[in-house]
Amino acid sequence: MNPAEVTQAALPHAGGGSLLELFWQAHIVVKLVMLGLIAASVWCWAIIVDKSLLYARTRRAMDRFEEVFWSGQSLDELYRSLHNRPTQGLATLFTAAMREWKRSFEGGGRSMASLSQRIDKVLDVSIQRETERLEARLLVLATVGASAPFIGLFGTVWGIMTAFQSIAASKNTSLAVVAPGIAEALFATAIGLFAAIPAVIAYNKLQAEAAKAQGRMETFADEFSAILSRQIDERVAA
Amino acid sequence: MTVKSAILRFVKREPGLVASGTGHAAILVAGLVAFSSATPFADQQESVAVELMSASEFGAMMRGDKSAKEVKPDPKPRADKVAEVAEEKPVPGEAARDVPAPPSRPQVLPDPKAVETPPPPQQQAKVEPTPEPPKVEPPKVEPPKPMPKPEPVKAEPPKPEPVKEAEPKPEPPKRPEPPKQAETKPEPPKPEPKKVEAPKPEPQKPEPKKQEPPKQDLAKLIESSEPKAKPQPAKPAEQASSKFNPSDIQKLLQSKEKAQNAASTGHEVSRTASAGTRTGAGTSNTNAPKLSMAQRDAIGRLLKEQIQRCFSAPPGVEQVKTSPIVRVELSADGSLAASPKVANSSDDPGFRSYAESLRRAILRCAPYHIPAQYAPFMNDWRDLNIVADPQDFLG
Repeated sequence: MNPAEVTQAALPHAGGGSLLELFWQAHIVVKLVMLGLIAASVWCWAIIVDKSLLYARTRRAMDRFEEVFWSGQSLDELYRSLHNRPTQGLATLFTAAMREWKRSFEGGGRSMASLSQRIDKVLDVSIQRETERLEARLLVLATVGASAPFIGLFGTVWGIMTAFQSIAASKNTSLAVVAPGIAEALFATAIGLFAAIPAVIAYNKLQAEAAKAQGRMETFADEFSAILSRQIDERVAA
Repeated sequence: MTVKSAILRFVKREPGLVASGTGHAAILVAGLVAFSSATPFADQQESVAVELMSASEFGAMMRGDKSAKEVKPDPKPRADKVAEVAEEKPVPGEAARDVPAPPSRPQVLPDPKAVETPPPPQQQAKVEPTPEPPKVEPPKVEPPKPMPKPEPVKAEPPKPEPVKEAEPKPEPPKRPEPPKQAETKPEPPKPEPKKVEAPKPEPQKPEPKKQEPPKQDLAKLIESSEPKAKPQPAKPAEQASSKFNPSDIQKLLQSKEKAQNAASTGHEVSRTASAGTRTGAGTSNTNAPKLSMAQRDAIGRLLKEQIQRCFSAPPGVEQVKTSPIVRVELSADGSLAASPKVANSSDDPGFRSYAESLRRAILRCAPYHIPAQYAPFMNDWRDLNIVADPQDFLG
């Protein structure tokens, strides 16, 4: 076949090169890869937005709570104002520890001996739960960030494979014939990188924020635990 | 309502998905707009390999043959060069350049044929070989017979192409090609029109004879019977004669001798030796012999010297920085064929007066004496542009 004819014949399909055309011309496997990567990208950005908002909220809540906590207000009053409401961050730790404290004294002070240890345990568990809540779904970002380029690469390799098969079948190596197939194949890698790059960056950023929040909670837990154990010792001595 | 409120609550609590989805949709739309169509690259011309050829090379390639009976409207390069390249089947022009090829003369004939229609020649060769074989064999195979044979050989070889013919004798080993030559005989008219019609047919005939004997049994048989008979040359000549005159053969032979010298010395020598247009100021300039650069300079100097004798420098010539270019048209006897014209202009003060006095001097000094040695190149110097550097005329 005359190369010029082939070129002409291929042009109606290959001509534009818009994103949609690149997508529709692709092999079904490449299409699936592209759709999967786009979905992953949407999901990643959803997580990024949610987590960013969550961390901002958590940070504000912690600031507010610490302000109240160190304002000299009575712990009992603070607990009464908080224990019926859903809480997060430091407030959750506080209510969990105070609940344990209250229960121990409701029983008439019989279980004072290991109260301090129990409070520590309760705080640890609470910190763990809070951290889990903060870090939930962050692993999705890590996974997408690590695997999306490879998935995209798979789509590209597949696309180029089929492109070369087509070239072999048409027995024509004109660049105009080869280029569209390769372009659509590379489009898969482009989408993979499009999904992976924000995921990797956001994962590192959010991971750091989660670690910071966790550290803050642990610090608070230690301080609060110290305050409570001093109270316990005073009461036992009394 | 509950579903809607649940969705609303979810969106309020986890706005990420909605935000992300809308963000991606926006990016997709932007991408569709921005990349709606790929901008095509600026057209880039494919590079084509070009061979540079000087005017003299081209002239040599296209030069006419003095012995040619006709001037063809569409001149083609000489065949001698082609013969050399025949094996490679290169373009005629390229073939012309290969001087070493002479030994393969037999190929010369084949080449033109090969170019035109290689397969048919072979078939023809088979049919026609008989006449040719005798001719070929005598020179090579039968030393004793040489006397009668040599003549046919000589007569025949020169006609096709001097260079080739001269060499054919040494080249007998190439006999395998003869069939082609034999073929060429029937086709001679084609090769000839391209080069020189008369010369070509003849050479072909001689060659086939020589070459064919070794290869073809039939040819050998024929040769064995025919070689002795001198009439052989006549046969080929007659065959060719339909298109070629036997009398042309002698002319061709003469030209061949020159060509041989040319081949041994180089293209340029052969050009001057054999170049010439029968028609003089011929219809096609490409057939005319070309002056070499040195010759051109020499003629320019000659004319300047002669012009200088009639030239009187106008005032201000010293300030003229631009050399006027004067176009001088000469006729064969050295007289002016047309009034000289100044082909350029300049703002230099004095340029006009200088150019004008130059023009008058050229008119006054006519006719000019052009040495006879340049007469063959008349086509090349009859229209001359003289760059009249003031220094040349003040000196």
